[in-house]
This record gives sequence, C-alpha cells and structure tokens, in this order.
Amino acid sequence: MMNRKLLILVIIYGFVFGGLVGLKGEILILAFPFVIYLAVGLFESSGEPELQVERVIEPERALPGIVVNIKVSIKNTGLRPCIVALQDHAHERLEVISGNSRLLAFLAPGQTTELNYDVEGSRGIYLFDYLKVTNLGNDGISESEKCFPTQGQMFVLPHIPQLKRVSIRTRQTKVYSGNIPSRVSGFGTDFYGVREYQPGDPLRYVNWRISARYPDSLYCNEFERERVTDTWLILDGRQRSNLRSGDSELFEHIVLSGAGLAQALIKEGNRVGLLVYGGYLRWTFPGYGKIQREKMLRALAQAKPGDLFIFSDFENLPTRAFPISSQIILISPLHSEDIPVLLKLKARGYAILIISPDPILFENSILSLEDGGNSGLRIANVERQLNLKKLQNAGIRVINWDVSIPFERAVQAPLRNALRIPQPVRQNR
Amino acid sequence: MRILTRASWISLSIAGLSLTSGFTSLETWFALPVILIWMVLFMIGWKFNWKWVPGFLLLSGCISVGYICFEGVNILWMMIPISALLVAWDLQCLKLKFDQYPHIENGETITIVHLRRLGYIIGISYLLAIFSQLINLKIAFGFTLLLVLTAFVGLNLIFGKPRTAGS
Repeated sequence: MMNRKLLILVIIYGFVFGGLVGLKGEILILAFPFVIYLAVGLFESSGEPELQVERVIEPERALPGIVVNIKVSIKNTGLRPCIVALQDHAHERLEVISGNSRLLAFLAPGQTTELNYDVEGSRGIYLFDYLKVTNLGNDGISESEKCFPTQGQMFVLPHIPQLKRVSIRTRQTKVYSGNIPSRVSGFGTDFYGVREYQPGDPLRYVNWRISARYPDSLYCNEFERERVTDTWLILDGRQRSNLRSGDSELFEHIVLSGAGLAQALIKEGNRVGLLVYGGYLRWTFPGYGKIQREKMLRALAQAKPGDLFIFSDFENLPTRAFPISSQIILISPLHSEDIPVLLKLKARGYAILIISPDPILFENSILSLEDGGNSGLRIANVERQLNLKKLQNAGIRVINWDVSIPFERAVQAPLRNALRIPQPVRQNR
Repeated sequence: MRILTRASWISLSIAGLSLTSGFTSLETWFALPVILIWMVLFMIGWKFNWKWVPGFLLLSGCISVGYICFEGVNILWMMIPISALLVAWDLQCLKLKFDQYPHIENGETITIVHLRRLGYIIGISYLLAIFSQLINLKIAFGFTLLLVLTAFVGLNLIFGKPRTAGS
C-alpha cells in the first residue's frame, strides 16, 4: 500500500510547490487535510498488534477424502483495538471445502475471533507453522505484515489396501510366534515330517498309517513351527521409475502397495522396516506393533520421488542394514540395470519378493496402443518379460502388477501362496 | 457495508457539486460539459469498483481545486471539495479492501472507526485553515524552503522503508 502513501505525499508536495511557485500562500492550506491524514495515520499505526494465536486441527491424521477441520482462534491481548487481515497458511495442495482461511476483522482489546475451515488433501504432511497477520492500522494506509507462529501438522496417509495374508518364507526367523514357516519342527499348522513317538506326545499327533506299516514303534507327525521374521520394504523412489499419466503417478501406486504390505506384515506380528530409495534414503527402522505401523504410514505419507545420481540404480542399496537371510520386499517397476544387482542380493541369501507395477501397461493407458499393432510396445513387453523371467529363474518371487487392477485384488492370490520348499521326511528306523 | 457505500457516494457527490460550483464561479462555462463527462466516467468507475479510479479522482480533483484557488476563489470554500475527495478516496479504498476478503468481521465497526477518524481530520483541517486565514502569518521564502526540506527528509525517513516484519 506504499502507493497510497506516495499519492498523499505527491499531493502535499504539489500544493506546497504550487503555493511557492505561484506565490500564493493560501494554496498551502489545501495541503492541511492530507498532512493531518498522514500524521494521524502515523500516530495510530505505531506498534504491532499483540495477538494470541491458537490452532486446533481435527483430526490430525486422515485418509485421502476425509475432511479435516482447522480452527484458528485469535485473541487481541493488547490494550489497543486493531484492524487485522488474517490469512492462514493453507497449503496449495489442500482444497478448502468450506469456511474461510482469510478474514478481515476489527478486534477490540480482549476480543477473540476465529478462522474455521475444512480442508481435503492428497497424501502428504502439511505443516501449519504460522498465521499471516496484516495490521491494516486504523488509517488504512500503513500496513505491516507479521507471521505469528502456531503449532500444527496434518498427515494425510496413503490409501491402505486391505490384504488378508502375505505369505513369505525366509531362511531365518525370529523367536516370537508368527505366521512365517521357520523350517524347524514344533507347534504349527503345516506338516513338517514324521518322527518316532516320544513319551508325552499327544495321541492325536500319532501317524497311525505309518505306525501300522512299522509295528515295532509308534510314529508321530511333526509340524513346522511358525515364527515372525525381519522384513524390509524397499520403495523405489527414483525419479526415473516414476512415470506420469495425467494426474496419476506410478510412485503413488508404489506407496499405496507399500502401505498395504506394511499393514498386513505388521498385523501378522513381523518386524518390519521401510526404506524409500530415491532422492534420499528415508529409513524407518524395523519394529513391531501399532506404533511401528503408525511410523511407517507417516513415513509413507511423506515419501516422494527424488532424483539423485548416486541412487540412480540399486548398486548403492545399503544391504549392510538388512539382517542376513531376512526378507526383502522390493516395490519397483524395475529397469534392466537392476536385474544383476537383485541377482547378487539373492546370492547373498536374502529372500526377495518383488512387487513390480507394470510401467508398460501404465504408460500404455495414456497412449492406448494395441499390443498387436505396435512393435515398440511388443519389444518393450518382451524385454520386460525376459527380465522378470531371469529373476524368477534365480528363485526371486516376482509379482507383475497391472496398476489398473486394485492392488489387493491383483496380488492377493500370488501373495497367499508362499513358495514351498520340499522338506525331507525323517525316518528313524 | 451499506454505511460504507452510502458514505462513499455522499462524499463523492459533495466533491462533484462543490467542484462544479467552483468552476462555475470562475465563469468557465465552456468547461462544464467536459467536467460533467469526467464526473460520469468517475461514477461508472466508482460503481464498478475499478481500482485506479479513486487515486486518479483524488489527484485530478486536487489539481482542479488548486487551479480554482489559484484563480482567486475563497480557500475555505474550496476546502469542501478537498475534504470530500479525501473522504471519498479513503472510503473507496476501504471498500476495495473489503472486497478482497470473503468474510469480514465487525465490518460496520471498521467503517465507523474510519468515518470518525476522517471527521476528526477534516475538523482539525478546517480549524487550522480558519486560524491561518485569521492571522496573517508571513514566513520568509528561505525559511519555507528549509521547512519543506526538513519535512521531506523526515517523511522520507518514515516512509522510505516498508514496515514489514517476518516471523
């Protein structure tokens, strides 16, 4: 509003100049209202407004599509009234559904006003760390801006697909009971082998068919002990893997699948960690339970793709952080250069499961090319199938996911059945 | 908001009428159609809240008043259009400010505070004008120049920098 001050000054000096040049002192009198206008403005606008700002966000944690209410109460704690324009820092990615995040108010001493509005946003973390207050003064020509710090953050978590069961199988398991077959006999549900009856074995475990064949002794069924395991979810956050189709990004599908897997694995009692591999390494160290689930969902809410040369391929994957023989679940559209790295990882003894959102089908959803009619599409498909085949031949489980199909529907069947490793039947004759 | 609009229109009308009377007292009848067209254009701009109109009106009004005074019309009479122009300009700027915000709390109080302040300003201005007409104060040209320079430096110090404060 400097132009308003300037206008008044120009008029004052115009009258003074006119009076002096025209040798007419009366013209100077015409400048009086403007001089007094400025003087009163200066007198009234001295000092910043003293405000107390409090913010309430309800709920602080929401899923996409859930409306979040934001209330900011502003109290004039000063001794003078003030005219203030209040503008809340609403992120551009948030859509204001109802109410106003901007307000012009006259606040008498001790008076309180409130900004109350509802927002809806896409996945992410939104920080509300200040309220912009423009003190209009009572004169209206001397404006001053000040940002009052407030506390508040809002998480919009990714949509979480509900997976019933994720069957994984690792060489090593932890000591706690879970759902992962541990290749050790004990209490469980899956048949493991047969051994000679020991005193104290429940009679219902006796294998009567084998006992009848070898009448000198009784034989009991053994079951595979089920334990929890260490699992690392690795999300491919490389910019080169993040294809875009209109408003849709492939990375959003990667995050969504990560959320579904994290929820399902933690629900089964596993110790799960998360790594977003892209422009930065964002770790969520492994842990159990609801707190870990919340940590992971918050990390997924903040995850974004990045472009850093050092992380342009999986060569720099920090494998030392992953316990030997643990389960690694990689969610990536995969590139040809990634195949040797993954084969090396498999050779080191990690159990690897790859959920691969199909980038060719995703990109084709924009181009709408027919498979038979476009040789480029066919070549790309063949190349991808060959790469996936290489991985499968090395013993890596690969699930090729067409992202046009909902994640839970696309992966539920392949994830339910873990690879069965044949176990020898021990006979103790 | 109604008070604001009404006050703005009333002050604009007073300014227009007093300016017309000033021109007619100069017997510049040939200028009347031009003034009328000018006023109609301003009123259209006023009605449709064109942003440039208030400032331009104030500036052109002040030039007109300066000219009328220079031609010898009574200065106290010409204080009326100057005051009315200032009020109209201030209220229109406030109205434009109100239009920027979807929600205004205590809008009428803000308007009344503005009007009261403008009343004080005009009252003090008139008193000073009358006082300066009563006493025949003569100041030397050099001293006046010194005063102008001092005022210029002082105002420049105050308005030279934008008064913004970040968090």
